[in-house]
Amino acid sequence: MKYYRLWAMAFLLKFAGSSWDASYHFKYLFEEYSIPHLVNFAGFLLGAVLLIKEWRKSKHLERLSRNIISVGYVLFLIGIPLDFSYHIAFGIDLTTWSPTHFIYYIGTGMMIMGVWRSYTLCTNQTNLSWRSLHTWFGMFMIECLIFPCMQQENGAISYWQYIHRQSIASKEILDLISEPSSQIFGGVPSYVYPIYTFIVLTLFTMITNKILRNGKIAIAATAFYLVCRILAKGIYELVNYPTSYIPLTILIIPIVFFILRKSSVSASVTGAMGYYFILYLFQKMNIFITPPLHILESIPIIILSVITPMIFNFFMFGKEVKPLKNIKKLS
Amino acid sequence: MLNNLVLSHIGEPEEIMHHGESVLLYGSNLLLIIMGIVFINKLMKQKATKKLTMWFGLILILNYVLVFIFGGIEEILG
Repeated sequence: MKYYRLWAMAFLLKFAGSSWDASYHFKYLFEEYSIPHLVNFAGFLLGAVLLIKEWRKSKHLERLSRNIISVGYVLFLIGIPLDFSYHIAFGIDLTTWSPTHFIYYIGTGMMIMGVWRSYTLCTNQTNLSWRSLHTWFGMFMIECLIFPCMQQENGAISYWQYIHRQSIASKEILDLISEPSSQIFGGVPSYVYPIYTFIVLTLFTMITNKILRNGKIAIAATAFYLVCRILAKGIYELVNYPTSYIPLTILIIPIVFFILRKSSVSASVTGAMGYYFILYLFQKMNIFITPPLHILESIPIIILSVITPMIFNFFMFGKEVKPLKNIKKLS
Repeated sequence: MLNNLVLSHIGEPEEIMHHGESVLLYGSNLLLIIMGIVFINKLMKQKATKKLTMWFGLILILNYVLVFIFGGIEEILG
């Protein structure tokens, strides 16, 4: 179990570094040795040591899972030179939505997937509970999936401060802003935020529930993610760092899937409506500073909430996920 | 959409000193992508060989050396 706890530590360092970095760039441009990058790199390095150890002598990871983690590392390592060339070709960008940044997210997602898969195989019949590392790996997966949305969540508050002349961004950042409504939100249209968040969270919940057969894990992972975000926000407030809107309404999705477990379509539609309309209410009633929303965006979300489980069920129909074979008992 | 994405860039494209150097950088990137696809494919089929790993590693090192020369050590951290 110690081996998987070390992986959780590696992902936690990556999570802390990337969240810090997203906030950092709303205040500062670049530093030669940016601390958030170093924290992220420490997590990357710890994972690499654990993986290399496993390649030298296979002890803790199932073989295919080890290769999935390796693919994640390969993608991440390819992403760095490509991101550099992207900056050379198109200029420096401060957005989480850059195409080359998605190589990092996919790479990190595969690392988490590989470790989580191996952990599931090793603990299958004994520990399918939310009080286990499943919740941790689920939380890391959610962070990885909705990380790009931090541009909108940080941007919402930074934009509000900018238009009210209360910006805490450094002068070098402010000097570069020519199109605030586009640059601050990473250059993507406003409808991307709610649609993307809803789809990835719904798919995450459906896949987790199907494989682990315990709806509480997705709820616990989402709640844990939100607690981490609230803690980070508190720390950033204390040190006068840019903070972000915390996507509280995402918790509705796994809860609704747990309550309405008999029908995934009604769970998805109810989850979509709960997620979007409460978020919209937060904005309209000025409860929180949320990313920009328009009521018409609810139409594609509701349509997608019907289609997504139908497509999922079409591909998974009749394919009962068999309990994964226990490969070894963990000490 | 593309226009919006471009607006998210806060700096102008950088000029690499010579045309030949940009060809070298993008050419090595292309080689890395091709090798990466082959290597990932072999990893997923669980048929990755030592020889292939070494070739991939060499091309990866070449790319990182170029990033170091044109950008500096901080660019290697991503």
